[in-house]
Amino acid sequence: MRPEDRLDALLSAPQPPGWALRSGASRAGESATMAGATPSSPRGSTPRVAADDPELAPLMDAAQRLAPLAAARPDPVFAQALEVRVLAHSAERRTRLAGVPEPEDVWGAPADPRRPRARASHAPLRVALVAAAVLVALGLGAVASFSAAAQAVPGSPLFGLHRLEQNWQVVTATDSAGRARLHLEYAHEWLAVVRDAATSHLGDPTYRDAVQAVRDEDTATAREIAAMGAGTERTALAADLANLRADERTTLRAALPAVGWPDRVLTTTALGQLGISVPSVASATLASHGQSWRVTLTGTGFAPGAVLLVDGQPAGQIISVLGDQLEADVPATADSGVPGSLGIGNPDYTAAATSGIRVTGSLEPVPTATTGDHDATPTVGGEPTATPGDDHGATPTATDGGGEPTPSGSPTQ
Amino acid sequence: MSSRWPPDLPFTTVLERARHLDRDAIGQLYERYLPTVYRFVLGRVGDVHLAEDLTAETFFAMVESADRVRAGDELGFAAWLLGIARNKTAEHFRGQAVRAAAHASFAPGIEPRAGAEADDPQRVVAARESWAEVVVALRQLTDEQRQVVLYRCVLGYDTDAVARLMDRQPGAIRALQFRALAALARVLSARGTHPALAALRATFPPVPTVTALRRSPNAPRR
Repeated sequence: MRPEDRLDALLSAPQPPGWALRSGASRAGESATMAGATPSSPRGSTPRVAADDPELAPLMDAAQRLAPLAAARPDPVFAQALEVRVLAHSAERRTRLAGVPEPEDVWGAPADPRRPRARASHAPLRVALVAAAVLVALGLGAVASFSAAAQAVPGSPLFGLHRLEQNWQVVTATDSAGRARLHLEYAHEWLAVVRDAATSHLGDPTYRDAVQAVRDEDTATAREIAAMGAGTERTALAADLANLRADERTTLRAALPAVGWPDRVLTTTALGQLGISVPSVASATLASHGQSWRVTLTGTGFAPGAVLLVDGQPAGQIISVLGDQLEADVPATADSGVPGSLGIGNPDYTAAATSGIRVTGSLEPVPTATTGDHDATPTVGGEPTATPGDDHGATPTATDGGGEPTPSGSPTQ
Repeated sequence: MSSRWPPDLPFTTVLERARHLDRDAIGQLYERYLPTVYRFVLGRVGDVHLAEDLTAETFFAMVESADRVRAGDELGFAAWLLGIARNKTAEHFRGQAVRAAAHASFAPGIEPRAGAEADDPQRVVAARESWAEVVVALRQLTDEQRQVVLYRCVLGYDTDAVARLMDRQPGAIRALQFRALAALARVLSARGTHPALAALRATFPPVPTVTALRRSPNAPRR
């Protein structure tokens, strides 16, 4: 018989009193129903081998040294307290898995078929079911909305929700680095949308929303990076931001010819924020010039061949483009009011505009069929203007500087 | 305790009810396996308070996963539950990896409650020293060796049961337990020379107390 078999036989053999190994075994197998766990009888071996076996004696001695461990018992106080906690945890989990409380909890008393239930006792269940149904419906609606929003493109009604979702993810990021990475990711996502919108000649609001989103994410990225301490992570993120901006410059420049003038103004502004030299309009003056308006724009970056933009569209007759000043005439028509914005469009498709328009003088009346209709009181900037038959010396109204004129009627009739 | 072991019902019925988180069934399994889990964990960590914490975690995990247990009999359930206890202990040691010295988890004056009366201070001191030595020695074994020693000599499972618990052949278990006990004997025979044991002894000042080993190892047990 091999030593390991002899040892196994010894370990399985009944031991004399004090042999802790057997005691431990008997406790572990407290129940005779415990299959395979009860101490087994020696199988064809003799338990007296150890005494005469110097090879196994130290091993049996080592096994006997485990007696304190085999006899260890958990503290009764601990055991009782833990049982309470385990059973409470079990009840809680059972309730959680079932989704509804146990019957006795719902009805307020143990279920007893012989005892008639009060009608009012159904109310908690009904309320719970209705509340659950409402919550499920709201949950499904929210899930559906967020799923749809996740696919939303700029210009769609769900775009705002998508942005909200992204912002929420950023808010839940733990640190500036995490937030910066998310902003970068979103910026690249929206830049791809800008590219697609330009290629597809999708104008405002798709293109405009996407450009704005890119710029917002760019700015937010820079803000988060600035909040980080110096280190390799910050350096890496700064490099990523630089790459993003290079991509932005390329994409926006390429998009300029593909989009309309209003979007070119937006794109040019974005390019200016990215460090590109772009035209800008510092001031716009609208002066009466007979039966037309003389427009004077001052600013920087006006290129020869530039056009005047009135409310984002080329208009008027260019008189001169000299240095940082552009002059043009815009013929007044019966239905023309003070424009909302005036700007310049360069031959390279960069554009700039301002809504701060200073109006000086008043137009000479343009004869129309409605002349003499004194009931109509056209206004500029919300103030009455000179109308045929009125005092021509009346002071014309003007908005100067930052105020955006909102003509509510024609300056002339 | 709210329930008693053995139950009136077959174990498979108890297990099936436990899968549905039946209160009595959970209580019966808890009472049945509390000593087993506790000893198993205590043999690995050596500290009573830590053993209690890990035992509690094991039973909470049991409740969390009771509906998914696939064991068909008592031994299968024991293997599953002790597997949880083993994982919880391993998680603990992973979390404590920075504490390279295994004996660092010992606290002076904390030793397991045993089923023996020991009002003799000298016996208490001797038992303490013996306990500390055994725990340190167990930690010198490989994981498999320690497992087979715990299953066989502490929890009292027979060779076939241990083979099932460890998913090995009975012959392999016999060989493993031989090597394990030989290693344990070697470590114990080198008592006083192991640095971990020396440090451990320092945490167990020879002050007699009557809190430990209340019953003599020779006293009859239930």
